[in-house]
Amino acid sequence: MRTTLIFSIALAVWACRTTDTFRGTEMPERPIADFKLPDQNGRLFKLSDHRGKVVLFFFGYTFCPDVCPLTLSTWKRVHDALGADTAKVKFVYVTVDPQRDTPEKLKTHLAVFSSDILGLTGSPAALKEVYADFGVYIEKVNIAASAAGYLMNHTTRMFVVDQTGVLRLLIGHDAPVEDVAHDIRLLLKEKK
Amino acid sequence: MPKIFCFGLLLIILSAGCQRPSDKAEISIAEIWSRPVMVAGAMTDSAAAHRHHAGANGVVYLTIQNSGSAADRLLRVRTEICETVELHETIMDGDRMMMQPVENGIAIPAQGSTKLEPRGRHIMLMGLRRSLAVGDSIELHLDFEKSGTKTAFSTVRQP
Repeated sequence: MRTTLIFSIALAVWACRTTDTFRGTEMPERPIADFKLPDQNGRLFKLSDHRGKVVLFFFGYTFCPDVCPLTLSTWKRVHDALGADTAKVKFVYVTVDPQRDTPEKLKTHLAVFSSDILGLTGSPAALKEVYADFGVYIEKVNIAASAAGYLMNHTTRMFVVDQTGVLRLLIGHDAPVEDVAHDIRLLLKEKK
Repeated sequence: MPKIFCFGLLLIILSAGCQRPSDKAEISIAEIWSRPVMVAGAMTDSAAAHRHHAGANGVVYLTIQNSGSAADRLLRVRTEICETVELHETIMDGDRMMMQPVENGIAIPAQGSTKLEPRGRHIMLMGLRRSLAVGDSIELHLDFEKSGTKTAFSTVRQP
């Protein structure tokens, strides 16, 4: 009788337990190859230096007036929403346009959003390896009808790397701020 | 004077007199805003010359309302804030983004409205001459096919 009661209580507790799940798209776990690229402050960003932190990546360019700054605005709000947890998160914006995006240009551009957002550039060859590892689509399109000369087509998802350097989530650039913050917090709860 | 000629002349006069004044576009601008942008300090003359394709860019989003009974079309936008203004559109294909100039302007239907918004059509300010801070106002001159030029002020805000 007592065994039955204990079992019933345990079953009820198990049934009532709410499993918190990711709101972004979970990926088959895959370590991201370590890489080094210069940031806008003249320092070298090395992914392995950020073990123990959740690292968000977005691949965009400063010439873009629409989706890229929209995503950076979202990041600013995510950054503010995370509060103290921000210390355990890195926001990393990797240029898809190294021809235009010098470290100085990235620094000026990103200052509008948050000084905590890192802007990475580098040689086309070094960047190409990073794009390939993340699976980022990039295409340079020459446009005769525009004073821009060329524009870049690119992937707009955020890539989320966990505390151990493993790519875990894809999040749409237009995801609600609370969903992005929620998924980051869920990753921070994991044991390193 | 032949009767047929008089009748024709009468018809022309009557049709001109009976034309409703509402048979035209009535354009107004609403919900107009821009993002903040920081522009680097002094530029060399050669850098400034290339500002339109390598400088800092801004954007304007707005709603164009047309209460008239004729459709209209936004052809171009002019402003002193930047080197070049172009009408662009962002096209999303899944998670891929493409941006391209809009050809032949942007149509505003009669008795309707057209919205320029993030991830869609927008006014691209290329080669900004100064930073755009939250609260700033940008004077714009919008040239319409039928309604002529409308002046509007875009407020800079951080969404």
